[in-house]
Amino acid sequence: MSLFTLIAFAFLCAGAYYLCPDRFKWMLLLLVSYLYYAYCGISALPFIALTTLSTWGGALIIGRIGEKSKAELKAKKAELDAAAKKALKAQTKKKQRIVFWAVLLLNFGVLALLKYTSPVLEAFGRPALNLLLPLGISFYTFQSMGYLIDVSNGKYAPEKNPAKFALFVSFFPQLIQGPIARFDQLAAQLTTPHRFEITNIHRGALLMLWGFFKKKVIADRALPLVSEVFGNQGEYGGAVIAIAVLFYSLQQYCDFSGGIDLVTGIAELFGIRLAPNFKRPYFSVSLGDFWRRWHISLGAWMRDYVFYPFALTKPVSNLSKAAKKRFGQDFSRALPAALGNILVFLLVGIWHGLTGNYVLWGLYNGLILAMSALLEPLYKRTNDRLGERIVSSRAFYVWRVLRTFIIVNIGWYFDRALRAGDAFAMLSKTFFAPAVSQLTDGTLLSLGLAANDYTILAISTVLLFAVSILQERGMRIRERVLSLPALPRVILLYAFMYFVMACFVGNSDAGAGFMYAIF
Amino acid sequence: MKKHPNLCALARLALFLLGFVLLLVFANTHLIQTDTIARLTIYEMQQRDDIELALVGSSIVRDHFNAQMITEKTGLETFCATIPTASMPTSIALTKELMRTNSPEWVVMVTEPYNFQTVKESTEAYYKLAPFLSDPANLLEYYLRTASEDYTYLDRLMMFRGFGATSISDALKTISLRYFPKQAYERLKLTMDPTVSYQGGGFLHHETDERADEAFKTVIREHSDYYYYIFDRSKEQILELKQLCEENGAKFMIVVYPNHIAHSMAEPNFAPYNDDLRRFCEETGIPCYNFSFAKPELLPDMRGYFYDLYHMVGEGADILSNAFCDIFNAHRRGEDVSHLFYYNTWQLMQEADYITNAWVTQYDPAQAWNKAWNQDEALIRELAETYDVFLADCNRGSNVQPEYRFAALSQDGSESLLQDYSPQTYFTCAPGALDGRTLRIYARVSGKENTEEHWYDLPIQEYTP
Repeated sequence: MSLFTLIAFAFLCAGAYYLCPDRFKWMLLLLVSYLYYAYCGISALPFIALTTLSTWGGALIIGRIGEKSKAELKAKKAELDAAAKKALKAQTKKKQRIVFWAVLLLNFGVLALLKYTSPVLEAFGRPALNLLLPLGISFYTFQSMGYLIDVSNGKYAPEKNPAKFALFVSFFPQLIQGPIARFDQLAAQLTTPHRFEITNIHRGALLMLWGFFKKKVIADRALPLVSEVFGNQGEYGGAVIAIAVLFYSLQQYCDFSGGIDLVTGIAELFGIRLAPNFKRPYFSVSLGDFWRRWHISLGAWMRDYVFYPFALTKPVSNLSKAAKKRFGQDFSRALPAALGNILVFLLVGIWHGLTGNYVLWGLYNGLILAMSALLEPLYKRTNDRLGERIVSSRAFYVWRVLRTFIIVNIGWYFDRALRAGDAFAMLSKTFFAPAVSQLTDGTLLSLGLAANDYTILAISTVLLFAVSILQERGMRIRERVLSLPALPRVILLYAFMYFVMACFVGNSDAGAGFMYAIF
Repeated sequence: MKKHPNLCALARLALFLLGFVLLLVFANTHLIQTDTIARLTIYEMQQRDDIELALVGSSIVRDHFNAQMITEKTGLETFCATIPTASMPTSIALTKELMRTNSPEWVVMVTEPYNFQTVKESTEAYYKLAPFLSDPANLLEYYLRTASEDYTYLDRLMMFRGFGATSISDALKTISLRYFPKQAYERLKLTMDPTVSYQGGGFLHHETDERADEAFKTVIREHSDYYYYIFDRSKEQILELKQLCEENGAKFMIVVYPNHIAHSMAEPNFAPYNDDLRRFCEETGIPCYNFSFAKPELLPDMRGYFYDLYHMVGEGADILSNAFCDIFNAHRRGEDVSHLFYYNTWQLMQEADYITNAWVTQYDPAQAWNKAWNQDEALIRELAETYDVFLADCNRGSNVQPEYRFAALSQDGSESLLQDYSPQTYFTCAPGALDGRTLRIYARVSGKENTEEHWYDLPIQEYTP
């Protein structure tokens, strides 16, 4: 479904939603979500249905086992001694774990099977299988498994209505590339009927327009240069490669965050607020800060369901205790976090793809974060020595932002290169063989972009940067625009809309052209 | 009356969006590039109400049918309703526009095989016509018809994206051509190619001395699986145009433009197109005259009049217009003129006793096709094991026996004979002997006196199979 079709579909659905009687509103959302998914590829429907049913059923069983156990404990309160109670609880936990792991393995197994079978076969010299990778499978699997874990941990009761749970898994705006929502934050919003409010339409449409601008004017325009240089890195010197990496930074950010803005805007049309997924990550002052601002919902998912459970395991605690004796308390405290970060980013790298470059990208990020955690006391001492005046100065802030930007961009070499070897070759050329003459000999105009494209990208990037600075300073841009007097507001919006209409790059595919739709 | 806040807000939103739509309409009509001649043609057509004979089509009509001459020779007020690169959808929309102010007695659709390679209509033709269509229904139909074929809904809806004015002067040109086309043309003429002039009646006259001889050397007979059959969709559109004419009291006729014969020789796959069109016209009762099959007594050899691969200079246009008038008048009188046309491509090729152009290529055993027909493949392959082999070929009539002469050109342009005229279609030399030099091939008709001599140069690179 092209982006235009998606937008038109969203407005039609919003119209139908507000005309629909309240009690049928959530059903309508479910219907249109499945229609949307079927339109994008009907053969993927069984997979989302499998995830939905298995997770809903599994969580329900886990809940019922718990309830049954509670009831039994209550009924036999007088008869059972402490040991018997403990045994009953352990038995209950065991039963719940069996169901939990069965559902978890089934869903992550399907994801792994579809995602990794071909790369594994290829690694062993076998021909790749042409397996279907359903649209947004990672996102709805992560979302569903988050729910399963939460139910299993007793965070909330399982949803009894399978249709309502199906809506939580398949809500169409977030289906393509997230954000990965939490059941307790989203489900009630989806099933509660929302009344028509023009503010929701204004706010949603503005955010959609901004997302469209980021995706279609910036990301899609920068794409040819990125594809050309990363696809044929041997032909280019380090200077052109460095430019391609910067373009990739821009393209990837605008593609992903633009898509998120768009889907968040679509959800707002229905009065539904999705969790934020980006918070101007290129203004981060450290790599850790960057990952708290980039793909926030995945970061939070990893933090809650991988990082903490891992860091709090007995072996890690034991290791931490052992390290305390040899390396001191600071090291011991930081060790679980360091190991957790390495594990999380290794998993995130593998999630991106089972190739060397992604694994290295994950390790690169994980190791830097681990080192940062371990060296935290040193940083603190250094900052203390520099003094409050320097540390809180604007120059120091800019330095930290630039430093983080460079660290992140070095990581992008591995993220975007076709092979790990390519990433190393490109990095080496960037530093040791820049071939600066390629910047002036016309090479830049042979990378798939014309002079006009560079101009549009420059204007758009300046605009994006300016808006980001204002947001970073706390300005709520949408509210500000909507509160302008009528004439300047209309002129501003018309000018921006005209610019977007004149400069967007047209294309279409099932995932509306989003990079992360295929993850 | 109680004020409903949501309804008021919705109304304001609708008004806002309407304003933006109007802004886009303005951009589509005032901030895009405009084809000067197309605009003049449309403007004149909209101003007139006396057109009796309309020739509809692309630039092949605009450049080759002298409206004034045809008016004089047929006694019917003639107009060339044309848009460059137009195909069937544009012809239909243009004819509808014509019918708004005119009731022609005849509509002649002029076509060529390239019009039927696809049922899609180019956006280039669309942006030249769409902003000037006066009937919204016709515009909507034209938009949907063209966009539904190639899914360019947005490109056509927002023409300013692909064909936007690139400067303020560009936009001013569009605005002046839109509102004051004649005055704008008079002013623009000063900066336009002086060899081209709009003569009125939709006819564009070319006076250049340039000829496309060099360009025709590139018309090489390639292997092609593409057959120029007419798509069913195109046939439906032809019938639609016919019906439109009949509903408006006009008679409908098809004329096929005489492309340079080198195209027919180089692309034998044109034959099915001609046969298909003839059959279709016979079945549907559409009179059809294929001038690419015109015999010399009707239309002389036109090869010398082409200034590019597809268009002729004014002199050629006059000859063609004259021939068209002869046939058109004869048709109106009910005369049978079939004796003035060959029946099909095969007959035409049988009668053509000349070569239009020749070429030479270096044989590469790795290539499936070496741009040379009727070679002894086994022999050539064997020779190539020992020598560098060069293959000669030419576009020619079916009964023509060509002979070739091979020469080498030095850097100073001096020519040394390698192999004199003979029917042998290949030349061999020691590997690398000609590297860095240019091989020139001459071709002529064997056994014919005063035959034309054609030549073609092939710069020889170092050959690395």
